[in-house]
Amino acid sequence: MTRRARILLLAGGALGLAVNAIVLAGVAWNRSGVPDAVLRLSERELAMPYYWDVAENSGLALSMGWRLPEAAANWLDAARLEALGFELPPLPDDPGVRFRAPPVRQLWLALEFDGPAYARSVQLAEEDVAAAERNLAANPNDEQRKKLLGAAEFTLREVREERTRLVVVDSDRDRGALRARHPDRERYAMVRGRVQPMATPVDAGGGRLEWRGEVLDLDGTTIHVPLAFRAALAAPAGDVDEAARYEVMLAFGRRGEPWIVAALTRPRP
Amino acid sequence: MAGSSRSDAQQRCDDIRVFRAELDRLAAEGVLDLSETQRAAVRAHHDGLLATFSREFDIDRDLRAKTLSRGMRITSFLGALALAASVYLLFYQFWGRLGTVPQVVILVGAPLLMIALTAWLNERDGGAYFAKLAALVAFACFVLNVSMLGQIFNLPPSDSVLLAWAALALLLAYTCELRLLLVAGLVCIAGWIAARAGTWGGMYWLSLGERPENFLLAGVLAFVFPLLVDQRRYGGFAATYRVFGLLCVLLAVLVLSNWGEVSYLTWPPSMIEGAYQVLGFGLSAGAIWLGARRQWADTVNTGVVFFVIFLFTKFYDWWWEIFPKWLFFLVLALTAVLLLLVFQRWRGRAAPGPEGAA
Repeated sequence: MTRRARILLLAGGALGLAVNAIVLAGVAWNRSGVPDAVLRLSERELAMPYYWDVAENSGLALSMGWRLPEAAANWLDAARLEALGFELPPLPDDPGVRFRAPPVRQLWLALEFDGPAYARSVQLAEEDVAAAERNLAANPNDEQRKKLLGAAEFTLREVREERTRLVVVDSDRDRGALRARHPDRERYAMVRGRVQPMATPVDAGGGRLEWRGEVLDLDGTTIHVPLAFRAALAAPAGDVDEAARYEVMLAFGRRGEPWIVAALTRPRP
Repeated sequence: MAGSSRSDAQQRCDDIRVFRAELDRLAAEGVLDLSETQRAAVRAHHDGLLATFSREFDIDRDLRAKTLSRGMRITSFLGALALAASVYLLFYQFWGRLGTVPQVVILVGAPLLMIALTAWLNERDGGAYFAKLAALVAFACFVLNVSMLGQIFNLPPSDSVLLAWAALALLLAYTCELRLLLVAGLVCIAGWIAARAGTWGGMYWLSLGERPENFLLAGVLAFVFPLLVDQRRYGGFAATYRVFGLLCVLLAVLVLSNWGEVSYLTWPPSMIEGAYQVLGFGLSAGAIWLGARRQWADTVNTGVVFFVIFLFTKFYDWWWEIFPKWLFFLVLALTAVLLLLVFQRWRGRAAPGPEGAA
């Protein structure tokens, strides 16, 4: 065997084995011991792919749906952003002046499942319905007010029955500190995510700007479904009313990486 | 010069072909007519060399072979692309029907098998077409291997993956003399250096493109690497390093010269843009000068392209709004003519005479 072929065989083989060993050891470490959190999620939080061409790609992955609290309850204000390590330059009074936005940072974020933040969303939607009902009662023949009430009721039904109950409620550079503030391991999972400060208009005219944080994305929001759990989940994709209902126990490990530990089909009511 | 690499052997073979043609012409013109014994001795020596080169390096012995081998290179590249796509699609079609263990075994095993096949083919055909095709597929399998493990185990993206891919790409590039994988390796390393630089500055690694200065170090390192480590045994590698390095540096400078907000510098954006415009002109002019001095055509061409881009960008800033469009393009055309005249003059002055290197 020539020297080049020998080098390629030995070094290439060693490289391939070493890289895979490192990756698999990391996975084993993440999943070892008691999981950091186990959330009991449903199809509302872990959605089937909207389009799934099983003939071309037989693998199945669920998309984790999450959201921030309503604008009024957005906790990522300038003070919190600075506490998280962002250096926020002063914003110009004139919106036409050029300024630099601080770069995206990776932070630990607390994902709350079916907790106070979700209850607050339901409450806000209920208040909107009540306000729309009062509005209509003042003038029962107003078609516009009837439409507003219909839209508010539709939103309330969506919030109660279909929208995700996973809400990003807190952030920190230190995962331990974040867990200490949210100790319930069946309600709060700690995941890495990207946050960027945005100069956000805070008055009606859009002339006054303030720094507000935007959570751009989270790690591990595409959840691979192992073959063992496929039977409980795999239903034809398409209209949500036709789709199967299921529950998935999603564990989060030492490194915050999630994996499915159980899945079961839930009958539609 | 005994050929120590395929490119050396090919160069010697080309020289022999030219020598033979010129010898025939000189004999026909009555300038030099070797005796039959001398002719036979030279021919036998050259035939021996050519036979050795053919056996060891699979060189192109004549123009026909050279033309055909260009076609074979294109065919082997297209074949590798198609084969890599086929491997990807095959895996995607069936992986959902497999348990986690078989998935991992297939993913880990595929690149190892392809590396072994590449090594075997490398030995058999002297690093030519089939080995190169196998090398490209081995790299594609390794990329699939690592990225699919990430999907199966829900892993977050990591910049360390770039380093692993770069290592295999460079290993395959050097053992199979494959410039395409050299470029792939350099792209991965540049991405990794830029990501690390960004991370040290507090950024998320995938935001590496938001600060183009992150790429400057990688570009400089790529440019100087062939000056520090001899690349003559690998045909075209030194030029690839230089062009890649220049692209990294000059593209970053080009972006910064138009978009000062993305710089690490704390000056006002317009001042940063001005500084990088000056730097862009200086660096591209420097590349032209250095390339002409060291006879690096690749460096001269890259420098010229960027000098013209920097110049036209400035012209656009200055005159697009105020000139009629016909006048704007006329100025561009006249500038191109002026540059041609400058280069022509420079070429005339630089020509060292009939013995000078091209």
